[in-house]
Amino acid sequence: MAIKELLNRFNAVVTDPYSEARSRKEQGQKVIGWLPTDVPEELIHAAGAFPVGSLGSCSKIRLADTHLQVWVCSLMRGSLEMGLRGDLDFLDGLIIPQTCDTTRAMVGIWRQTSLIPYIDSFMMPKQVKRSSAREYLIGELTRLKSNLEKVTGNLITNESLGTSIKLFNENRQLLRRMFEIHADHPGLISSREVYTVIKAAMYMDKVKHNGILQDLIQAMKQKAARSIDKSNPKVRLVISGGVWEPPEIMDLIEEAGGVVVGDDMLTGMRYLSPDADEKRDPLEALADRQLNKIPFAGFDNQNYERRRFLHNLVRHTEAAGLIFLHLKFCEPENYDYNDMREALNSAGIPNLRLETEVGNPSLGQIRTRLEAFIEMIGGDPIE
Amino acid sequence: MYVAGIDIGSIYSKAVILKNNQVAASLVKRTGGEIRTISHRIMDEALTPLGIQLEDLKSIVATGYGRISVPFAEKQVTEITCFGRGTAQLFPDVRTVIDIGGQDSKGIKIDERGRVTDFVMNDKCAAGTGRFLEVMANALEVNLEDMGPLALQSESPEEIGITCTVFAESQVISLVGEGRRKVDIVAGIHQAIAERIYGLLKMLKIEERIAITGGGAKNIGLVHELEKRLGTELIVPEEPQLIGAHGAALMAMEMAMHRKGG
Repeated sequence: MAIKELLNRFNAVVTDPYSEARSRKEQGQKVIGWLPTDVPEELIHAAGAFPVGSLGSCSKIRLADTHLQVWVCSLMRGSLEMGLRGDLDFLDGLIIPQTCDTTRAMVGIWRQTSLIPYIDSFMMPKQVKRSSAREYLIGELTRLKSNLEKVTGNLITNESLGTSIKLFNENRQLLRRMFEIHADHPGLISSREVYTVIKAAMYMDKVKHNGILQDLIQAMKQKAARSIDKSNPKVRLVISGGVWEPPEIMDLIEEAGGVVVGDDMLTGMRYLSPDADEKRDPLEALADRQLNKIPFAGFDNQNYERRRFLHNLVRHTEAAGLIFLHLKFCEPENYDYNDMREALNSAGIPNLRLETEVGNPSLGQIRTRLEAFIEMIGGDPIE
Repeated sequence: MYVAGIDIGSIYSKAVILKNNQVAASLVKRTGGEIRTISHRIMDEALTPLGIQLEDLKSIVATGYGRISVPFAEKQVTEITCFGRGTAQLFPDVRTVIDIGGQDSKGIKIDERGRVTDFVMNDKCAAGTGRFLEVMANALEVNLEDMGPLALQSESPEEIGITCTVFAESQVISLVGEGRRKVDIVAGIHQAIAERIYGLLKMLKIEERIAITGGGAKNIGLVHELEKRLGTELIVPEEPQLIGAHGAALMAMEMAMHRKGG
């Protein structure tokens, strides 16, 4: 199948994200949703339920404002709006990870306003490098596991969890493979298309996603082998932040002459890496996967690991610069920004911060900034 | 050889025609209405006295927020890059440009060739921009051009604490209601805008010399307040609004030369 047709299938999922989940529900399967980021989907899957992400891509906010102060980010606001509107009423459960003050407080609001029978919080250790973090996290995963067993009526055995881990590892490996091909041959498919494939994984059945993704990788490899002109005039960029929303931001980056070849986004690399160790006890493997994830503003490690991570990422991907995509009112990102900027500046890496809102595609000023940034780092615009 | 730069701003549109690197004609006109129409009208008006037509221009570069809607432009370049080029041409020793336009205020760092090395730009809100001044001038029933000179007359400026345009407007109206002196309110407004812009500039490593461009540079009260905060004299071009269009025209010239050479 041609690349375009394969991409259309992922695109269709992202345009109508809950059709698979709804049909699962109709067939009698339990459906458990999750908010970004880091909820172990494998546990939901191993309990026989269908895991589905809720990324709050909702533009008209009418109901959520009644419950939320102005400083709540558009990601959490959009998700709650969808909940209040009844868009998520098909869910049998919703797991909300606690990654910041807002997500912590959201759990209570959801419990009071939603019809979803089971709403749980997933409390991850903030200080991931602390020696007690692992033991604590295994305990938390055990709690989540037993709650999921109650909700679904199915036992999560080591065997079923192992099988789920294998399936999700395969999905991550394939997504990483696709990303590598893209980074080596930018332009085969667009940056937005690459990230749309990743986003679709959060809504789709993983077996189905893996299947189409394998075909896509094959098609990309063939196209890469056929193309004689290896040069790409686009300016290679890394993006850093929470979510790449609104999706139009990806189009703007490409229209301005850029291409995204690396990231640390929740709806990007953070979703794809690392794998869980298939040889270990499955709960321990999930805990280790969580603790070994790439640095994120919501979790604290006292060694400023993220500064080095971003610096290395830019070098490793041979990017010409980095763009922070920070959600308005995202405290963890906003407080960390100065440190990140200083680190990049002192390494001589050009960087730009854009403030974005989920569901707000009014991007005129963002376009000017992006274009000016790419004009600045891309060399003389005349030549 | 004639080339042109056209800068479609949110309030004013500007055009500069270069003949062999010299300014042959220039024009400033209120944007209003459809950008396609205004861009044709402004070019016609600039070209007529020169006895030439659009087709006689070897290259045209468009800049400003309306740059993508100029139908006859050969290339679109952001105003950030263009203000850098334009300023460096006129003032080679400038390293920092403060541009205060109708909708945006910006700080731009440039090297000796006018290439941008870093920049900052205000967020969506209009505080610290020309629009803010316009709204305040309206609220006070003062001509926009008189705002700057009025501000200089005050000895005890009012505190305008809020820099959101909508809130500041209501604060200004209540100060008027309390019978406060107009000059003091006007001076307070200028301090508030200068504070806002200074806060933005501090995100850059400001290097001297510093030039101020855009419509805001025509306001002596604002220039004065910024100079106080920056502790240095600002370079104010004779026609600060034209620097972006001038920079665009310089890039058009480079493009035309590049084509000729290659």
